[in-house]
Amino acid sequence: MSRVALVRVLDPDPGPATAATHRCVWGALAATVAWVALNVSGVAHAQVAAVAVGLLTVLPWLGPLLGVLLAAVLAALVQQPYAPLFGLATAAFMSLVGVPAQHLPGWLGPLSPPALGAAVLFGAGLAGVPGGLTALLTASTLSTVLQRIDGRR
Amino acid sequence: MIDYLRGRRVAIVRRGGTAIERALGAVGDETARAKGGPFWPVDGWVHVLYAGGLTVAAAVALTINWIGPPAFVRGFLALVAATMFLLVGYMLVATPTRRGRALQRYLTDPRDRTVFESAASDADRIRLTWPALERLGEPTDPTAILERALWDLAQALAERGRLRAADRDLRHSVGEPIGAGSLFTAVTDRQAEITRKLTEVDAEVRRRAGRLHRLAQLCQDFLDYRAAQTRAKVRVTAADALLGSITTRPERGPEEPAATLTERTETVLAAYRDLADEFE
Repeated sequence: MSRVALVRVLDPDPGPATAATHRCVWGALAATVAWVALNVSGVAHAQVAAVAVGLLTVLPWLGPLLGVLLAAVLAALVQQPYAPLFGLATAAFMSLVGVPAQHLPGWLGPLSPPALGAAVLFGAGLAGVPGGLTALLTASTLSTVLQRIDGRR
Repeated sequence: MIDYLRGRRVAIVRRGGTAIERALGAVGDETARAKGGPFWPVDGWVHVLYAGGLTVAAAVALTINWIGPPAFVRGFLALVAATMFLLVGYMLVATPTRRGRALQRYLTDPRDRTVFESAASDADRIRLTWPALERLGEPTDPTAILERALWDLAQALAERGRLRAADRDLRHSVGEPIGAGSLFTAVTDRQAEITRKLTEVDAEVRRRAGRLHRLAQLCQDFLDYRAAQTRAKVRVTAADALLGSITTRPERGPEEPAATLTERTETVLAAYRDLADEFE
């Protein structure tokens, strides 16, 4: 007879906010790489496309794959002879970004959705996609620093 | 459904609420408490919330970039938009975050965690054995009552943990050089009050956990009783079958082949011994 699971014992790590923040950092990294790749490929509205790629990457399950596909297809559809090569290169770079994004450093602490959104908005409003990534990394690091100061009190 | 998260220093019991409230409660707990866990594992709703916030932020940032104002104006716009986003965002998530946190109970004392785990195990046993009670068990599904009982127990345990911590702190103050004046009197008064409340909550915890244990024991005893009855019935049936087979088998004859063989061998061996004695 199987045991009835009224109470579940769950693993304590990782925290939801930390994991979601790390996922958003991955999205911002993907958006930055996509922005560079799409700009080099000559895709129109590269910034909008890069933002879409970044947002897709944040989504669970197939999100990152869809992001890679979107960036690769956009780069491959450009009207120039080496477009398929650009598409392949974009897909390769985007996939490579996913590797370090799986093990982000511990000093990138948790941010709440409003704080994370505000940081990205400020950075991206000021300096585009790379600005968003920089602001996100800075805010996340500051969050860890503040938490450690608070914990020591 | 009650979820129980066991961690290194504290355990969290979480009950009910919508997915968004639970997700925001867990996120708010992690970002505001500034402690090292334990935290709930990530579920899809947390990602959806972050993706939603990020989408709105990205849309506003793209609009600012699309307008393309001078650098100074762009910085000002970004600052104002980020501040607005922060304020509105916190206003939007404040209520569900508060609700989500109210759906959680923290068990900081290892003794409280042990009591809760024991009670949860009793609840599991009750749920497991309840169907065997058939029509004797009312209601048909006791899950809701058991969850409520566990939740109330968790609340009492959390309160007991807080009272113990306060009692410990006050004891430290008594041992410190605070003088023998009104402050000392205030500390000892509060300590007495805390001790009295602690005794009450302790009794409540024992009562609640004891009732769950008693019910689990009752269910288990009934199950054992039914199992023993079933075993006895099976053994009676087996005994009946054995007796029946003995009754219905063909009768054995009065002659016994082994008896003849024994007598013959005995005679032969005796004759041999007699002969041997004569020739020695």
